[in-house]
Amino acid sequence: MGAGLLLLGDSRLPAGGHAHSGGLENAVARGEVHDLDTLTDFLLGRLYGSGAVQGAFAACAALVAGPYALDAHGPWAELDTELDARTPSAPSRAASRAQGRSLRRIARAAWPEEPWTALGVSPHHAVVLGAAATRARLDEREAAVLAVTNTVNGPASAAVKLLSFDPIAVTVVLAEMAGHCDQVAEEAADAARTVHADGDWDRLPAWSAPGLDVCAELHAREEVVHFAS
Amino acid sequence: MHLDHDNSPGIGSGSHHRQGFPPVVPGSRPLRIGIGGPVGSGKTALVAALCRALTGRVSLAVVTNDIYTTEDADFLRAAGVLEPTRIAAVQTGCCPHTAVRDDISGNLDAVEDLEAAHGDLELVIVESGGDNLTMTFSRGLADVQLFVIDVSGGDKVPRKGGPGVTRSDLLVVNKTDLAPMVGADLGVMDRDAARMRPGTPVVFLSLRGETGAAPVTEWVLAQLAAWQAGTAVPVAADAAVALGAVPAYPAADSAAGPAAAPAAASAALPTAAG
Repeated sequence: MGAGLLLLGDSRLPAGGHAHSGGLENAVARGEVHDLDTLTDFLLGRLYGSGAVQGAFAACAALVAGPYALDAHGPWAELDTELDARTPSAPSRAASRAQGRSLRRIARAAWPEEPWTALGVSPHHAVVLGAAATRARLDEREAAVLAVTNTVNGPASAAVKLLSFDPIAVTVVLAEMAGHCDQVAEEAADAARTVHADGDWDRLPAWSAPGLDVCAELHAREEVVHFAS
Repeated sequence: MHLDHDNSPGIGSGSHHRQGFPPVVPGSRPLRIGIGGPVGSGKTALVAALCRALTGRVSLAVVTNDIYTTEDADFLRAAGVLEPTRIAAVQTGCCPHTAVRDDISGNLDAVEDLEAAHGDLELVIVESGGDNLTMTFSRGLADVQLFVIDVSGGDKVPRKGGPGVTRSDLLVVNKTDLAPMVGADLGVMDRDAARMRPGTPVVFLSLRGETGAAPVTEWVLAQLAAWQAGTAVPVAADAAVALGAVPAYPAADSAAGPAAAPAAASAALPTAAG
């Protein structure tokens, strides 16, 4: 734990996150999220559905990247394919890749000697996040914490903008959820260590939250949207 | 001590190349012009007028940041001046300002995609969503920027200042034809604008008048000519120079533990004793 965690976890990191609501905008548009209780339910769905998977992939990417120099010959294509398979909604895949592209732009600027091209032009966000975490001197568990918390912080911030919630009240929701985030990240990192040791990439966690896929699909069909996802 | 080899702890790589901040060589890629300003000041109408005036003379594309809809892009398409593949819309997550200043990645993606799709591009116009007088574009997104206000907001707007008014490369006071109807004194606006932004140009505009967007078109063409001739000020290079004053970070795999702060940093920072 150090400045690197705060650097990559800062909501002000200019990696495009501010324009993504993680399906919340659609859930609000359909009236499913309208108060703090329904927001909490939505965020828990994000955490245990998306967060558990994103955390595991970020942790696995951190292990693949290695602690000293980014491994250009690591199984980046395998991780990419596996995360695609766990993201059934095409708009969700596009949102992940858009944020991955933006984060890779930052990573290339901050650590230009590393072979970021090995990850592809528009890699999944969790994969770049895990790789970048190692450059910021973080380990796989911290990479998982970053990815897991990212799945709830973004929608929570969007809720403040879309529903005029008291930002302090929303922060209280996140504070109460922090222990859950740590637990999910811990389990995600454990799963990633096992998979990394065996090289069985298809055994990475595959939790899902179909409701979020529905949100993503409906959002992409909307004419009037504030957020990219 | 050479900064490349110091062993102080850091997170960045310590490379002096700083590929993320390439000193952009003017003319090496299309010129990027930002157009910002308050809601309803006429940004989109100005962009449409520029497109009409420049089509056939300049290969251009537009990125629009409208907050709510793809209406801006549709407006440009309906005007028949740009083919749809030369227009991209960016969602700003309820924060039009953030998308052009603090986190420009969505716009950078759109600009880079347009550049990749149209190899002949010379000019990319990035139109912000409507915001207030503090709206400015990051120099990482726009090489030059113009700020559009209009007389119906009152003739006090220029003297209110704000970075949009004071720091833009061109201030456009739009809808001058409405001045008599809203009781705006153009002389006052001219005087205040000159005081708030000494040495930088101000243009009074009425798209309904005979000259239309001509003064802005000429300014844009002059900026483009300077850019393509390589005589424009490479702002990103300035930024790189400024960053060069920051002590370089050591490599992430630096074996050393905590060490003394880089000499340059120590020298640069005021000390208690000093």
